Amino acid sequence: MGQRNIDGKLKTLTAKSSPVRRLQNLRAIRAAAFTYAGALLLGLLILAPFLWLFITSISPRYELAAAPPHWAPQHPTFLNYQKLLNPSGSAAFTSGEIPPFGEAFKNSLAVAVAVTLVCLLLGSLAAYALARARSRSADRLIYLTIGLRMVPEISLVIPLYILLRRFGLIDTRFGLFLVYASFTLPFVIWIMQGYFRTIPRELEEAAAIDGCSRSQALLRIVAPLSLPGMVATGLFTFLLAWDEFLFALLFTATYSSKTITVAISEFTTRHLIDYGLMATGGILAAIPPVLIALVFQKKIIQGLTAGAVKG
Amino acid sequence: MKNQSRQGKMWLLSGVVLIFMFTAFGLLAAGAFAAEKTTITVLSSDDFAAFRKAAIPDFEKANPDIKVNLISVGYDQLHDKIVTALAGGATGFDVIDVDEIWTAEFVEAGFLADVTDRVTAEMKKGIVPAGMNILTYQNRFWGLPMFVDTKFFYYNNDLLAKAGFKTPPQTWAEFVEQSKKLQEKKLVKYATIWGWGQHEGLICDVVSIFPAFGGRFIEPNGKFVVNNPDNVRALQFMVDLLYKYKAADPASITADDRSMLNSFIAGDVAFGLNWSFAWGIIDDPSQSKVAGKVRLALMPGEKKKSASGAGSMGLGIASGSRRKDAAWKFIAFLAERQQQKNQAINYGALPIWQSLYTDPEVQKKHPALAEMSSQLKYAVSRPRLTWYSEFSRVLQLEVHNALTQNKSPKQALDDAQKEIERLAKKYGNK
Amino acid sequence: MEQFKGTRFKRSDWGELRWILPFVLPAFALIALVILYPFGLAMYYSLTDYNLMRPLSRSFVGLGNYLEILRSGYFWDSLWKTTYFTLLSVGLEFVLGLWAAVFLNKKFRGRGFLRALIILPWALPTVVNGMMWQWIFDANYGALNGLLSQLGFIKHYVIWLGEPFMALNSVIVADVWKNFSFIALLLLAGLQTIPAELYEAATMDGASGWRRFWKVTFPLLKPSILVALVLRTIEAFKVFDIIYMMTKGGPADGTQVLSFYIYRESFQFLHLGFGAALSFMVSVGILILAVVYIKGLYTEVEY
Repeated sequence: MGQRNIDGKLKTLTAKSSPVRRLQNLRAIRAAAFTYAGALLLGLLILAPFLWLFITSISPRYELAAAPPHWAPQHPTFLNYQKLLNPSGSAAFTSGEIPPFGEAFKNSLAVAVAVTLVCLLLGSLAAYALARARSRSADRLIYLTIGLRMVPEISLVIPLYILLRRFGLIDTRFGLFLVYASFTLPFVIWIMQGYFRTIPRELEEAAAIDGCSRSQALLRIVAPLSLPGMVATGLFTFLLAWDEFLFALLFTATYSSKTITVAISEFTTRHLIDYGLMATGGILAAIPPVLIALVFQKKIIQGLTAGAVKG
Repeated sequence: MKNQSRQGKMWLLSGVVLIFMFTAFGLLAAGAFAAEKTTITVLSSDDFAAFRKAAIPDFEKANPDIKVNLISVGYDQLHDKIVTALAGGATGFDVIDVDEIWTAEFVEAGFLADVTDRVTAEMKKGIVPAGMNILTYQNRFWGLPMFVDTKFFYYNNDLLAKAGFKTPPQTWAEFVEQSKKLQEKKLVKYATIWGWGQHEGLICDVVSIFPAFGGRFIEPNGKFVVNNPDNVRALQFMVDLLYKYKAADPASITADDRSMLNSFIAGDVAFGLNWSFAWGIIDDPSQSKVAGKVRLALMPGEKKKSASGAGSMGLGIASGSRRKDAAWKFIAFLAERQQQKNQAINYGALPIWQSLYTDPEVQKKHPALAEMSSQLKYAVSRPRLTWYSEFSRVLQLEVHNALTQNKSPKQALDDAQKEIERLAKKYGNK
Repeated sequence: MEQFKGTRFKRSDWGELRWILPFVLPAFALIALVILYPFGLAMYYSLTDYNLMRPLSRSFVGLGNYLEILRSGYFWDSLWKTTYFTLLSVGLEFVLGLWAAVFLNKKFRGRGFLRALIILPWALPTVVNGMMWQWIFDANYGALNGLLSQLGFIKHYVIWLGEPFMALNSVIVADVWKNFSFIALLLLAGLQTIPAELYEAATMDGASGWRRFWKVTFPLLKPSILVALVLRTIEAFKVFDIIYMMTKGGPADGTQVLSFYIYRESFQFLHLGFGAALSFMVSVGILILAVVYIKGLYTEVEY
């Protein structure tokens, strides 16, 4: 490998001083043009819909009913944001009421954070044990967790509803939390056990020789090493919980537990369809996951691949 | 040895976690029971939720021992919400909002409590039959109507005058004529937009148009005649409105009775079918560009003078409710004359009391009342079937197949007939 | 220790179980209560004619529901639509995602910025995505019609969500936009683990760009590709949220995928037994897909 590498470098060196350099320059320019055209295309592809969403959110209603669309609103306004963030401050403006967006936001946040923390704790414990176990039943449990990811959520809605109701958990954040946590746990276990497998067993065995118990080894050696994986999985879990819609739609009834996704869906069923307000709601709902994704992008990807690919 | 005790600790820890989980469960469950005073929970559609919300303080003042918790959801979500909530005799809701097409289904499913003994003689006598009927099933009463409603024909008088028409269309043929003129004069791009997405709203328009052409779904002897020639002609007319006369915005195919209002209040179209609640929006200058320019007319006819799809709703008591008396008090309160008057004047609904239609104050303050009540005579109900949801689903699909030109109207209704006959056989024609 | 691997109920297994159990128990207790128990209940329902309209007269019908499903035209229709949705959306997401990943693995100015952006569509909540595209596709005031007609590509506004097949494809566009970024992210991470020397070696051997890709990149990227495809295929086959937001199954059933069909049977017609049986058929479908994938995955990675 090393020898080849040197050869390769020699080759590029000789290429640079060869007489066909001009042609290569031309090619380089063409390649660069292709690259930047591609970059522009990709950038537009990603940003254009977002941009339109934002433009919609700051357009007054009468400008939205325009064909062709006003790509730049003539009278931009943040009225929609005001209406959503401070519903009591503005008088009724549609015959339907404005969903209490703040409440939905809080519900989503509370449920997603609780799900993330509990899943990380319970999921990591289970994943660690499964990663270190040598028996077949442990393998079976791992397959079970993968299998559970395949159950269509909709098939469990009715029995789950009956179960939740028996415990008085319909229309509570705790009920949503329980359901989300259970549906996310298999995923967390799957990712984390893959992650734990990348941590050499020898480290713990060495610790055991030094008189550490398994839980000590877990806390002192494995936990710090797996922290990046846990952070990544946790962020992923948060995003999943924030995104969930079906259970929230059917298991909530009031804004004491309705989440942000349900609030968004209700915009479309109220009396008048106010796309400006909907777009504003969409942008507000997207802020937490988008911020998390932007800030922790590297971590999420690393953890995800470490867990998933090596699982 | 040391290892052993550490493992013991791990056991302990997981035990603690488990116990914690189950106590949390228990506490929450207990909390749900402890909160049970006389708070009644009402599941209401959005349509007149604003009125109901406003009435609660008055009700609570009159009944200090009862607290009302009103939950409103969009009409589109209401049926599914009720079904999931009441599956197997639930106690979560005390009062539920019932569309007239759900009565048979909900009674058969045991969702509704029989209120026959609670209905007073005054109610039986004073409430219009079209209203009282909607929650009557097997000769028993299952709730009280809250408003009487059908599809109404709204038109923009301003645009019509500009096109040189003094009167709105009286037949669907005239409707096409006027539409053409409006479009030729470039007053509008399309004369109308319909809420013809694939949902229940489509059937409400179908039962406004099919009967006008002489169509029907069920013969008096109970036989289904979904594909009778009058229906086919009517459906052909609906298709032609879109593709031949091009009088309707093609976006009708994806719209509903809410989204079509956007075009109507912007003044982009001249005609539109909608419920009574729409009047409150159309005539409100803060929401509508066409406030003051819109009038109501009798729905156009063809073979028949006029026809319009009925869509009244009412409130019933959930059979699992443990607060039925309080629940009834609330329902009866909203049905009272004074509340009904308020609902009519401030929210544009048609009242359930016969006497309110001649009440001078209502007549004065509800400018569309006269036209609306004359339309009531031509109201057509959708079939009353315990399996109505499935009937409607088949009809929605096949009508949509015709409207999207997947099938010819004849073919679509033939297919609908076949499937509906199969369902009728399966459910024993009930 | 190692020699006990693969054997069951040896003494040491019990020893192992003793330390594993407390770790595993809390998580699996929760899973058992909230997933397995309802799953069992649903499985039982699928063998009955449980109908909320007649909740008391629930009787055992064996495989009756399953037979009825196989005879139902709606089922085959929605199965076909779901398959079409899954194949096309995952296929497009893969092609687009792979292109984006390979592209972002090149060195050019502004790469860091684009790499940060690529995560955005995936982070956008599905419900918001559906709402956003519904508005973009709006027949009268939507951005797509406005843009295409201003650029001269279309003369008349297109009713994107108004024609059954077009609506299905429009929903696919919305889904692809959101999820290609997920595949791109996974593949980009996979690409970054491929040592640069391998490329240099291949370049030196005179391999062209395409050959280099097929001989070096693709084989090494295979695990990441498989993971991405497994996850996306499962999700696409279960698609519900975006359909609910954009089309609710219409027009003329054009977007009635299996999940929406189940939703309809269970919550509009109250056929819980039938709905449960349907969802088991879907689960089995997904299981088959997944087993095929995972077999591939494990053989590729570990051995």
